[in-house]
Amino acid sequence: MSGPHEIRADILARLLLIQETLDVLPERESIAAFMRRSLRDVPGVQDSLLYLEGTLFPPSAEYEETAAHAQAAWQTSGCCKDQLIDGQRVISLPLRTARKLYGMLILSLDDETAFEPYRAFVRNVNNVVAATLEIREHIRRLDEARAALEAQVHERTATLRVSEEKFRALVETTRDWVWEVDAHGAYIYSSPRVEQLLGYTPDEVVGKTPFDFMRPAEAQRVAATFQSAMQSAVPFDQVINVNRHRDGHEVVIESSGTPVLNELGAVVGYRGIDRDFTARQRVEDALARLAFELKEAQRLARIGSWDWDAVTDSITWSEEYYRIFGFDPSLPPPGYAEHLAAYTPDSASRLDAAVARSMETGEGYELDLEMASSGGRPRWITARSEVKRDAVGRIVGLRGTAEDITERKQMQAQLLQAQKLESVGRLAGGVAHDFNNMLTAILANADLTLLSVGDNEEATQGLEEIRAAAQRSANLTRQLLAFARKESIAPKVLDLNDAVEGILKMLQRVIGEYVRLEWKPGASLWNVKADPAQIDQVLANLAVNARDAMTDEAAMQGRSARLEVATANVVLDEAAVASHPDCVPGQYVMLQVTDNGCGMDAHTLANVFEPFYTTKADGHGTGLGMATVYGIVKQHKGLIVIQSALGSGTTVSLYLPRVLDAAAPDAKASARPRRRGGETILLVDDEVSVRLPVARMLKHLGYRVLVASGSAEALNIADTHADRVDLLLTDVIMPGMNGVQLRDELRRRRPGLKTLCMSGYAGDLLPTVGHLTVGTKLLRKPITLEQLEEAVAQCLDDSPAPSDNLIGAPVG
Amino acid sequence: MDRMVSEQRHPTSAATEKNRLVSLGFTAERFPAGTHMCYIFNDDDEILEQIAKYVDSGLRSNETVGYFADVMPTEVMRDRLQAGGAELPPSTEDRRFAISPALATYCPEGRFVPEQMLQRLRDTYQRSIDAGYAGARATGEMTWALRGVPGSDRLIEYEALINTVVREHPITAICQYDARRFDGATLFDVLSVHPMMVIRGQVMRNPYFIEPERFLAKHLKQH
Repeated sequence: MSGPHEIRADILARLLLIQETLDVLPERESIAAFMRRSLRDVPGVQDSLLYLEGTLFPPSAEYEETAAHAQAAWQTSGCCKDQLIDGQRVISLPLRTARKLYGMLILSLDDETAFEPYRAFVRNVNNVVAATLEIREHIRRLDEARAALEAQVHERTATLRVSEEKFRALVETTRDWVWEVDAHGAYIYSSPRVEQLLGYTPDEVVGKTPFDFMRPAEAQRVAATFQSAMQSAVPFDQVINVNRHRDGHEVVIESSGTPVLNELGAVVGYRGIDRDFTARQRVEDALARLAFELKEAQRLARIGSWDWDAVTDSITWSEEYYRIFGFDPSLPPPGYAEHLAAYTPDSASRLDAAVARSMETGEGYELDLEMASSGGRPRWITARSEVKRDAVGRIVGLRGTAEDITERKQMQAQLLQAQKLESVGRLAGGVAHDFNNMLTAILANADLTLLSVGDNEEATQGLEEIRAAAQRSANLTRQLLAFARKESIAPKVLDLNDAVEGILKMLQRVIGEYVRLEWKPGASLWNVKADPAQIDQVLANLAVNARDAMTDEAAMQGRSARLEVATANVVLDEAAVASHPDCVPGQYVMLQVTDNGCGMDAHTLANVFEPFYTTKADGHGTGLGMATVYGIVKQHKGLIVIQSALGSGTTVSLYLPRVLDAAAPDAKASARPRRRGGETILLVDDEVSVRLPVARMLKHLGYRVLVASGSAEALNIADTHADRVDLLLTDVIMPGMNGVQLRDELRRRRPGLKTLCMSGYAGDLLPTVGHLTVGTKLLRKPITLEQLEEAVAQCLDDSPAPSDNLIGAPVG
Repeated sequence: MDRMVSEQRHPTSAATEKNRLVSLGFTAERFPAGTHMCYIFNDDDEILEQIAKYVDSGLRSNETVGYFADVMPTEVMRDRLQAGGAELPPSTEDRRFAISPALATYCPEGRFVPEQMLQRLRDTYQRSIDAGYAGARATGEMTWALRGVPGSDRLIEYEALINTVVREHPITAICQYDARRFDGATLFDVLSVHPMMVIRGQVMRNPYFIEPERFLAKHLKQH
């Protein structure tokens, strides 16, 4: 046994065990009950209660207030006094930690002295209880926090799962192949769509790289793109690449990807989608092909198209449209005003009105419009347009085309010109035959009469005037025929320099002394094949026009008149002859006549080749000069270009095709045939007004003349005439057998018969005649005595037919 | 082979057996065979871990082991013990290890009669010794006593009497008390009748223990 104030070891051991055991007791009730039973063994303790967090264990109305007061006192002052209740000492010991007061241990002591040694130990038990409660409170809070966190995680996980399921469903149902690759380009995820795209399952794809599905060259190309994107950590978009399907066929894929970055910002892979581009590629190829074909069709058809959206005021032009209007296709289409400026003012005005009318009425338009040109050839388009309407029928814009009709216009102009030529030719041809016969009668009779009037000056003057008038009439007829290309020509190989030099004196006389004539012959000039007489006529006509252009002093503005004639070798390419359908590219000899006169305005220039078009006062021009030049050049398969502007003079350039043959000797240089007489000439002409005076002229020249009014009579004479016949002088156009046929027939009867044909106009027969008259001379009506004498004499002096050269009749 | 050899050993006397020190498996200290312990716990994982070691240690020491399961079915508890590390013999070898429902073990006739249970303990021990085992140990989940079975109010009396039984039949016993199920006063009474107690796997000598005769005299007087 121990003394009353001694501390018993077993009691302390129990108190210590209480401290150990309290920890495993989960509830306040258990703790309170355990403590109460434990403290019962502590000396001096009669009973105990635990006031824990406002609850008294065990419940006791008697001690409830005491416990509450004790706790309140402790909270306010940090101590509480012992009390005497029903004669027993009651002490209150706190259960507290540094942070919180959890309650009070109320001890009812029956022996305060016996208890006192254990007070400190009981306090320790209290502290353990308080610490246990605090730890449990912390644990409870932690548990609550963890539960709340877990609930939150659970909720977020559920949300994430739903989101992931949605995403997965989206990924796995989208038509695109969704994938992810690591930093080495190896797939680490593949959506099931890959099976439809490439024929491999996602499991077969994972671990491979995109390049495993490509041909080596394609893999190299795409790898470069991928590496470039990866090094820069940038997305790549719509990279087209060609892959091989499991079954071997090629699949065109459009790939887009975004880099996947780690927390340090380094690229650890890419995530993206692949889309089957095969069908789209086919469509795009087809569209590109269609676009190309449309472009080519537009180019070939020379039709450009445009589309104007009135709502956005935007306009698009096709490439051909740009070309037609000469705008740079790399730039946006010009504005409306600038577009209008591409036309001549008149065309621009008509187009503007048509556009306004279309927008107002909804009706389309079709206009032929002339485009403004800066000195070049005029260009034309046909503009067509229709309105665009929206779903409810409102006009929302226009679309249309422009067709380059320049060539068609030129062809039309040329056709018109040809038609004019044809009509003029028919007119000229129609009258030329009879007219020349009549002129022959006039001239022949005038010449014969002149021989007989002697010194009668008045009669002589009158006859000369008749003769001159008849000559002018003959010239007029001849020019008409030349313009209409109906004139028979006698082309020969010649050097234009020689031809020009031979006429320079005549030209100087034509243009007058006040005009300085400059001759600039081209070196080593190629030969051409031309009728020298017509070259003379061309130069004469051009010189006359030039002279007239330099006579107006006001227009000359003090310049001294100058006419330059030049020749040169030129090569014309496709572009140069493009607007001259009769011509082919090649070598030409240019004959150029330039004056520094008043020049021509655009209207005059446009009509300069029109027959009977003249700027000269009445009676001062026939209006056939330039038309004749045009006709002659065309007849020689050449081309003519005129450059002129008001106040800047005029340059007329003629281009005649080069021939490789050597030039013929100058006919003009040949000796004039001596006069003859005594030979017998068979004269055949159905026109009595020609036949009689020609017969008289021949007789006058000393020839014997057998006269026939037609082929039948001529053959009869030939058959019956016993003596020789030296020359057949015959009209070409006659009823029945024509002159050529008559010649051939007579040559069968009288081989070697020399023949000289006469013609007022042989018309369509000329080519035939020309073919058959190799070795036969042609004498053009009207015929003067001088011409007749020269032609007959030359013919008779020549070698026997048919080796005679064809010598063109002089143009008079 | 060892076990077969062991089974051929001759039974030893109770006094000799009483002096035999046994390992409980979860602590390095060895205790005399027939130690009666209460294990007050509030953590299922902790109790399973320690008791599995206790069972495994007994089997390894050539003792028979009995487990009286209350919270879970015996099959589940068997699996849990094995999962906790106890190397159990096949269920057919119920002589070495028997797991049985606590209620059926303590109250086979629907009523708890401490004397009958104490006799079964004696018989079990004796059969084990007779069969040549080194000893016997048992453990029971005591929550069966909270089910209101008639006679369960004699639990503390029964626990006190065990201390007298183990003097002659030193069967080592751990009584598992779930602090979450038993109130503090009962647990204090439990302390009074177990000379040793286990808290958080630590075996301690119980300062509250009262010799059974004295406890019973006082206890029976109070009740």
